Amino acid sequence: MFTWIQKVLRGSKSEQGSALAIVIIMVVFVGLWFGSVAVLTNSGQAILKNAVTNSNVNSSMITSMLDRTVQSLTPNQTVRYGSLAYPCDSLTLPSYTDPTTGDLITVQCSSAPFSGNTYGQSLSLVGTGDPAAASSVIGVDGGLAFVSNNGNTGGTTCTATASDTGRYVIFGGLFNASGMWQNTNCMTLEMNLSTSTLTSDSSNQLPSANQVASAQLTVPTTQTQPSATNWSTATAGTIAAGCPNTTAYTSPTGATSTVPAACTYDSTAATTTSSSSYTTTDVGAYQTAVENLLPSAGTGLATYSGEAATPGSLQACNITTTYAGIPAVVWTPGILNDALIADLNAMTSVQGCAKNKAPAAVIFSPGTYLFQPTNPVEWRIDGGSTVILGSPLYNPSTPAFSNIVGCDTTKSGGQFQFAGPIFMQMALGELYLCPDKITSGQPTVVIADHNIPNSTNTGTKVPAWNPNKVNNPTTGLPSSRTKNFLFVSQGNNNSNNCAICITSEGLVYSPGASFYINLTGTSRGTFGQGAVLKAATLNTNGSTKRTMTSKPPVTSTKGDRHVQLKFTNVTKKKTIGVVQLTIKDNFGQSYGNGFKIDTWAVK
Amino acid sequence: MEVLLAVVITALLTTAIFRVTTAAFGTLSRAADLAVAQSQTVTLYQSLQQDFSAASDIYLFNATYPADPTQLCTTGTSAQWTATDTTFVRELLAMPISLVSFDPSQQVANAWIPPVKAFRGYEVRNVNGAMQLWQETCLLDANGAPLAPNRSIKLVDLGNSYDYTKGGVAYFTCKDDTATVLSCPAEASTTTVATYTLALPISMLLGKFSKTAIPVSTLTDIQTLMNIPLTRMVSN
Repeated sequence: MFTWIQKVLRGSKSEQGSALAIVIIMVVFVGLWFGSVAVLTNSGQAILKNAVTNSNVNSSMITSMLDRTVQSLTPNQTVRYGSLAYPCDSLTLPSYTDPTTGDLITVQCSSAPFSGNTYGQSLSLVGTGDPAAASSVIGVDGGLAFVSNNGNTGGTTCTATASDTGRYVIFGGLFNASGMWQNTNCMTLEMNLSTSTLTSDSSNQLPSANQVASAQLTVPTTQTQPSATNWSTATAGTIAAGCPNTTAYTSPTGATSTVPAACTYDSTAATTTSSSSYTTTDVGAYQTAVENLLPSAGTGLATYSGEAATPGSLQACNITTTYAGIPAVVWTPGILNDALIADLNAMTSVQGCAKNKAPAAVIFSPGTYLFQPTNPVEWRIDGGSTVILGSPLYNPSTPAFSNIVGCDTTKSGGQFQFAGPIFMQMALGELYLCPDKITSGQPTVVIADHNIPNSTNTGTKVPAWNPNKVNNPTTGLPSSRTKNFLFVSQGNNNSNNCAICITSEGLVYSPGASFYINLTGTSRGTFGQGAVLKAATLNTNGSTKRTMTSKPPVTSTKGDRHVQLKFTNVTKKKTIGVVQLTIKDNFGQSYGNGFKIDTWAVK
Repeated sequence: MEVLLAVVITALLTTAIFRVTTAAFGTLSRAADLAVAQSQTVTLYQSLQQDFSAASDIYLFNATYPADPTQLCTTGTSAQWTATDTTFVRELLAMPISLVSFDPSQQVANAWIPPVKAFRGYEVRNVNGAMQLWQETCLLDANGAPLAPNRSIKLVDLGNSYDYTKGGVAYFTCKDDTATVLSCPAEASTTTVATYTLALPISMLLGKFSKTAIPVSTLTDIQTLMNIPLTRMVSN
């Protein structure tokens, strides 16, 4: 054995000292292991500590920059960067140089949809009565009227359930400047904050309930004509002044109940639209903000494809033109005078082309259309035509007249401005209205009872039209309905998807005229971004179920601006923080009222 | 004789190498545990710093289940809150928060980022005998109340034991605008608090690898971080 070990140990000189070598190798290995772990640990800690420290430094820097940045966004009471009228995206804001590092920090601004331009109510009824008349009519001169009480006589109890039919549904809140209601109760009016139960033709996505006005009714603290004796009704029914007894309410989780009408008395709301102080009220300032945005239709006449040789002579219904392969008339923007409105009536009324021909699509290509007749006229859509302001949306996607289900909100739309003695009636057909851009805040319909001046106050952008001054010339119309600008008559349960379908993807802005809407059967109506109306009369007595809806824009800013400030370290080429603010100036009325921080993300 | 000497030397060297290696592994394990504990607590501080600055309010809880649980964002139940076994889950603090996501490693495009309203919660869990601190994120229902957590991130290993008498209020010091120390309100809004300071007890044990846990007192970086106040930047 020993001999063998001796042989092994003496066998090779190259193996001498191998044990020492192994020791050295192991010491080096372990040393390197320890060393690398220590270095990595220290590096990791250093990086994290630096991140924490840098974040604190960045927070301090951004905090010090906020005040002067907000000041730059509000150079005066009128110019409000970050609102629809004054976008802030390309505004150059003051930069900052970090005194320690010398790094250059810049700020860029962007704003939330509808920033600074919403009143916060899904339906605003701004009429306050006719001061020249001994008695004003609910639903025409102001307030909300339902033709039928749907079995509720105005008591405080109600048997409404989720499956009941025939309620007008509002997602958000309702403002009623007159404080007058007729037949408004839990069987006729539903305040609904549940996106899953709400039926709507609008393709606008509903905002979450916590972004919109609460589901309540708002009336001014002081009304011009607070007594019910100053008001009359077009039909029999229960009158309520100030606040109705009940409404139906559907909670965000979808539970429907009957609740005492939740009325808020607002001291900043309008008392009378004719008052000189009206524009300083919240709702008045909102209307001014909307009107400041309105485009002009220009001075040229509108045109249409296949136009008659002489405008106003389209009698043969010779619609031979097409759009995407379907029979259609395509209009281009401008003014529609008496002759062009006559041609339009020939295209859409049952007495015109639809009498003998298959219904056609009437497409108003993107832009602004000013309806300005000199003689009283009614535009009738009662021949089954489909009228689109913008571009048709097909479902299924194959272009076909029967496949039109709305307007394509990914494309531009436009605006109808009604100025002059014109009324509208829908009895059979579809009307889809798209704004120029879904987030622009531009209305799709404008009817004001006062001239809206241009930006330099040197002329009129949209002339006034007050339907109370002229009777609707259509014979056979109920006398109580001759003052409503829009008269939507009863729809039928015919084979159409929509016997009558009226859908606006943008705001309907009609502070100067009232709407009468009677939808039954397969008819539906939707105001996708809410409506401002003088007054409204609704008839929901039928088999309709939640088929008239008003819903608000995606944010409810109530005149405050929601802006986002992005802080970039230009030297290091990275974003260091994003801060979102509410500038609390309420359409500029609360100038210098400060701001609040809504989100703070600083790395 | 020569052979005998070689055997002895080899045996001594082997013993020495064995001892060095064993000690190295022990120290290395300890060092690794220490490094992980350091890293986890710094990450914890970073998370708290960003969440506090994005929160409009902070709710701190104590060892008893809150009478009003509507501000909770936790995976646990009332029974788990007071359990002392492997089912133990106790939320220390929760906060309503507005989240805006962006990548800080590059320049972000200038466009409005829709904020996401949510709740953030920090809870201690017993996971098979190992105590861990987790961060929870809860989206809101249509009424604005927090739903069940939709995202959970493990932040810190807290060793194998937890002082069951302690809730979130025990780990923070609150000061008002004048830097006067307040007692942190439990189960209530803390909008009157101007700054919050993390106050981990120095006897608290961290880590999970080492047989000997890492006391907070040995983490010098954490001591430094705990002196940096946490502030809510979002308005109420």
